[in-house]
Amino acid sequence: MKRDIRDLFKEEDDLKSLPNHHRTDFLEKLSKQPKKKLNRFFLLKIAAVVLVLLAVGYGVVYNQPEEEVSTMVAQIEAVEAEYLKNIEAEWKRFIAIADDEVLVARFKKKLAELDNDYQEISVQFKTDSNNILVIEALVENLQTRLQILKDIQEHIKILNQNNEHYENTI
Amino acid sequence: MHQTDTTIIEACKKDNELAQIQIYDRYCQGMFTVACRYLSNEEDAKDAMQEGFLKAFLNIKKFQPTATFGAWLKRIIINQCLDVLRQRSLKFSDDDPENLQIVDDENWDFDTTLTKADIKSAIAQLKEKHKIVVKLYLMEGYDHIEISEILDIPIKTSRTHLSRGKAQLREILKPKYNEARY
Repeated sequence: MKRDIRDLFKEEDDLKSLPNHHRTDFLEKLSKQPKKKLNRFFLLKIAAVVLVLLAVGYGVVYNQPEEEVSTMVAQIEAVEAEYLKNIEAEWKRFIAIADDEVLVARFKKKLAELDNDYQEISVQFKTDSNNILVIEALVENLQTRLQILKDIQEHIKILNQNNEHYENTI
Repeated sequence: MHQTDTTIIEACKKDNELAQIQIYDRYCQGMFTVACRYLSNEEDAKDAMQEGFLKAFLNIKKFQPTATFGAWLKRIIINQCLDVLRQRSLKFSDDDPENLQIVDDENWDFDTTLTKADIKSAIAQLKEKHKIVVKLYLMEGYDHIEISEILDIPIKTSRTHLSRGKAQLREILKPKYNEARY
C-alpha cells in the first residue's frame, strides 16, 4: 500500500515547547528596539495642553505676577492631586487583572522612573514656578503615567477575550 | 483571522509595545516549532524566531490582509532561519545549472508503513541544499515559485533540488521499507 506523503505533512506537527527564559529574553530585545515617532494623537494632546498652559502662562506673566504665582502653584497642586488619585486607581485596577509578574514588574519600574523624573521637575518648579516648560513637563509626566496604565489594561482585556477563542496559525 | 487580531495588528502598526507582546505570546510557540525545523539547536531556533518577530514588527506596515498574519509571519521567520544558515556559508543555488534536466513528477507516494517520523529522519539525512527545498515544499507547503523567492534561486533549481531530494529520500527509505515488508 502506498500513500502520498504530502498529505501526511498537511497535518500539523506537535508544538515544541520553548526554552523557559524565552519571554524575558524577548521583552528585553523588544525594549532595546529603537522607538519610532510618538503616536500622533499623543502629540495632539500635548499640543493642546501646551496651548492651554501658554494662555494661562501669558496671564500669569503679564497680569498680576506676584499674586498669580501662588495661585499657579495651588492650581498645579490640585491638578497633581487629581492625577495621582487617578493613577493610583488605575494601578490598582491593572494589578487586579494582570497575572503576569514580569509585566507588573516592568510597569512598576516604568512608573517609578517617571515618578523620579517628576520629583526632579518638582524641585525646578519650586524655584521657578513661572516657567511654562517646567509646568508642561509636570503635566506631561502625569499624563504619561495615566496613559500607559490605561493602555495596558485595554490590551489585557483584548488578550483575555482572545484567550477564550484562541487559534494558533502555524 | 479574528477581528481582534486585526485590532491588535493595527495597534502594532502604531508601535504599541503591548500589542507586540500579545502577538508574540500568541504565535511564539507555533513559530518556534517552524524555526526548529531549520535550526537544530533550540537556542538558535529561539533567537532566530525572536529576531523574526522584531523584523515583522519593524515591517508590519507592509503586511497586507490578503494572507493570514500567521502565514506572513512564518515566511519572515523562515527567512530569518535561512539567513542564519547562509551565515554558516550554506549555498542553496546549484553550481552546475547546465545539468538541470528534470521531469516534473508529482508522484509522492511512499509505502504506508512509513511513519511521519521515518520520513522526517530521512529528510534530516539529505544534502543540505536538497533538504531545505524538501522541507519548504513538504513541511511548509510552499510551491516552487515561493521557494525560488525565499531561497533566491531560479524555479528550475528549486524543481531540481526537490526532485533530487525525493530520489534520495526513496533511496534512504528503501532498506527501511524492505525491513518492514519482510
